[in-house]
Amino acid sequence: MSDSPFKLHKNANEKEGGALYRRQLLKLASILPVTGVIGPVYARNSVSKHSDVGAESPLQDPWLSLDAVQNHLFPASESGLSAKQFKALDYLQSKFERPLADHEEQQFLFQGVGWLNDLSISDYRRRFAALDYAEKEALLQKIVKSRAGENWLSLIIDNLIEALVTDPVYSGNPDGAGWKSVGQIPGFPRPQAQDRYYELGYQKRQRLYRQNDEKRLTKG
Amino acid sequence: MSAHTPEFDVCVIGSGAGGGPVAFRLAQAGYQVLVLEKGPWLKEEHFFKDELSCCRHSIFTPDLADEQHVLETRNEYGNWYSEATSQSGWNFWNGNMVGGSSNLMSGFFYRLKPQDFRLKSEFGAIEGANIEDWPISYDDLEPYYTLVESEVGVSGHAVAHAFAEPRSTKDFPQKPTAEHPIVKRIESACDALGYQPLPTPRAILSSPDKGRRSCEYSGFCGSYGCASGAKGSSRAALLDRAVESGKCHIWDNCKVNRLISGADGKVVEAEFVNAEEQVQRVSAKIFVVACQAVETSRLLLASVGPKHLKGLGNNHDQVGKNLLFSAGGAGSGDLPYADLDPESVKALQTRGPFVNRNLQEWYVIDDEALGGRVKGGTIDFLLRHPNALPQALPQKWDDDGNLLWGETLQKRIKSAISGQQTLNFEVFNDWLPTDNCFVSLDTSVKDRWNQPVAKVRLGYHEHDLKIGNYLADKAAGVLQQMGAKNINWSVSGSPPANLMAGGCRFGTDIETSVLDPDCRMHDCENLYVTDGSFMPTGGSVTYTWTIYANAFRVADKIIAAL
Ligand SMILES: Cc1cc2nc3c(=O)[nH]c(=O)nc-3n(C[C@H](O)[C@H](O)[C@H](O)COP(=O)(O)OP(=O)(O)OC[C@H]3O[C@@H](n4cnc5c(N)ncnc54)[C@H](O)[C@@H]3O)c2cc1C
Ligand code: SF4
Repeated sequence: MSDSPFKLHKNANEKEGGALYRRQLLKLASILPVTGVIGPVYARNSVSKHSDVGAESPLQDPWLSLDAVQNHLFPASESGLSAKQFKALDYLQSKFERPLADHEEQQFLFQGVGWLNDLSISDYRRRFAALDYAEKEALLQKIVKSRAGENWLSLIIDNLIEALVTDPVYSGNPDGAGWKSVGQIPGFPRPQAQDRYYELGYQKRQRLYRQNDEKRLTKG
Repeated sequence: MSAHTPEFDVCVIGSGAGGGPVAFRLAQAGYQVLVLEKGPWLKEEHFFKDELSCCRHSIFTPDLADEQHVLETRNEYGNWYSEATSQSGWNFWNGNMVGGSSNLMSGFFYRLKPQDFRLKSEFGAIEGANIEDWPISYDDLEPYYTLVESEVGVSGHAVAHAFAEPRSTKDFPQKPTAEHPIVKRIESACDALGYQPLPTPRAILSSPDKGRRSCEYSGFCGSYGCASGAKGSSRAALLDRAVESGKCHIWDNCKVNRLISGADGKVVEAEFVNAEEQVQRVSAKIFVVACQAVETSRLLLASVGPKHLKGLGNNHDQVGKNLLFSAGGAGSGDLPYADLDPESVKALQTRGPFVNRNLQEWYVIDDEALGGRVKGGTIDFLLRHPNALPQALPQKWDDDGNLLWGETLQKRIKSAISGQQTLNFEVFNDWLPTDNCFVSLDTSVKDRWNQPVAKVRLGYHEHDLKIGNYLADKAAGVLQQMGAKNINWSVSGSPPANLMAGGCRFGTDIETSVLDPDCRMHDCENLYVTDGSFMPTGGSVTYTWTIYANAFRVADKIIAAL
């Protein structure tokens, strides 16, 4: 697709990063056409706990591609665990199922999968997950040169790092393996399922406000 | 309910360091006290070392879409430019819950020194700064500093030094908390430089007291709630006991929108919005405002009445003026493990105990480079915050701003988190009060309940940077002496939002102050302000101990007035 934002080169004058820029980008993502094979429903129940990439993988897109990107960005190496080992995909999936999930972020990630596969098919006639290591690397090096591509990869890396070092109660970092791999000593007491952030304090109140606002909207 | 039969003797608005002592003392004295707190009532059992709930999706502060601030800063052309925090990425909330931000503090506790009460007469006026002496002296506050040591629980060890403040007791009631092995290195560096490192008092229990457990050394302290009760939050140390007395009632999730005053100028009722988002009112004989400096000024300015046409106590345009922060800056240096023997590495890797060392050599500086004798400040040493995300996330960029991944990134993350111990320092000096640092009401941005939000102009005095840089340079010298690598520091006029005071100065002249020396509003006899708003100048230390002490002092005045 010639209009893939992953092909637009970074404008050298453009300001880097920042919440505002990201918001603009998410906005851009929401108006750009969704390309590729991503349908409107992204069922999590089609996902195996063991997210194997490859022909026999039970994963479907967008998770199949995201899983492949995650494991390319965080491979098993002497210096660390692979994305699969610290359950990065489980983390990401459960993140979007949390009560106060940022669905704009989710949509941007999913749209990026479409753009990525468009490019992969046009360059290699195969979808990203089916590429070999060198091809994957070349493709990611290509998309990172676009502003949208860099933001998309950057967001995936942020989520990988979150999965690696946040409490296992959020589905990544199994038994603290992520902490151990980077030498982090966690604090205590640690949260249980009922103590996750959206169950407490202002986050819990935020859920009530959303319900109140919805009630008001449906009444009005 | 009729305003003629007040439901409570005292209604305290805001339950933090300024509100807690009043509620506690008044309840202890047998009065019926109501505390209205806008935030939730989180208790020991709700506090976990969960980086997501502490610091990424805060459970302790409102969503900025519901409640925010408008901040005014000077742009590059010298013009004031205002932006709502939901747009700018700033967050000016600190901790909104029963106990306020005192739940989240690190608990470095300092008394002000006698000179801090008379900054103008000791050091003279400075052009462009509205410096005033306090209407009370250190001696007036000393008994209350001592009271805080036992009631809130301050651990430490008093030593003699050039700027030691006079004490009425020999030493602290609690021994210092356990200390990190890095302290030895700080001490030998200071020895070599001829400096006297001082033990830093902390509002943290080193042994159990009054039903609270002692510190469990989780290593994650500042910005986190305390699960043991050892941290001297207003909730753990005072409000829990006030509630136990049966005389103190806390209504959480109740945000006061305005105070309603009558024809005689006295406050009759507080109007608040509760958890169900209903607007309600409650009456009391005496009202005490302690919402933290910015919100206290906002509440007073929003509380227009027949005798207070420009807001409560604002007939002379003083409410919100001379807002203070803590000036200074921060720096850090690394001790890379690769440069050290295994035993040293093991010692430095220790997680849990505190650093507890500070320097006050330059509390007063006599140096020609600064034009003679001037007020200086304090240098505090502390370990880098153990949160992992702020260490790991920036590693994805290389020095040229290129995105990294793969093994390169994995190595960088590991090295950032566990390749060294990092010693930080913080510098505290006076934030001079000026005409360019104040609170007003924003005319367009409203909160969720359609109330105007606070607008804060964030100007600073250049003198603050001069002193801050002087001190930071000394602190960096200590890190250098320790052999630290990657030493860097920054001092700027950007205020630390968590250390705010001023806005409702106390004084003897109604034309230039909002409160009288008892922190009672000059022209509203049943209203007191007991958070840090009363301070005309803030001293060169973190000042929560002073907020606590003054609130205990004012509680005695309120008891006398009732
Ligand atoms: C991370 C962190 C670390 C800190 N470390 C230190 C330290 O090491 N040493 C030190 O001395 N100080 C430290 N502080 C600062 C210290 O917490 C504050 O100085 C102190 O808590 C201020 O007391 P306060 O009563 O003014 O405000 P708070 O303690 O914040 O209490 C104000 C309360 O009023 C409530 N409120 C506001 N508006 C309304 C309203 N309209 N209606 C009802 N309730 C309202 C708020 O929700 C809040 O609970 C730290 C603060 C933070 C956030
Ligand atoms: S380190 Fe001590 S005072 Fe701090 S939160 Fe943990 S138990 Fe509480």
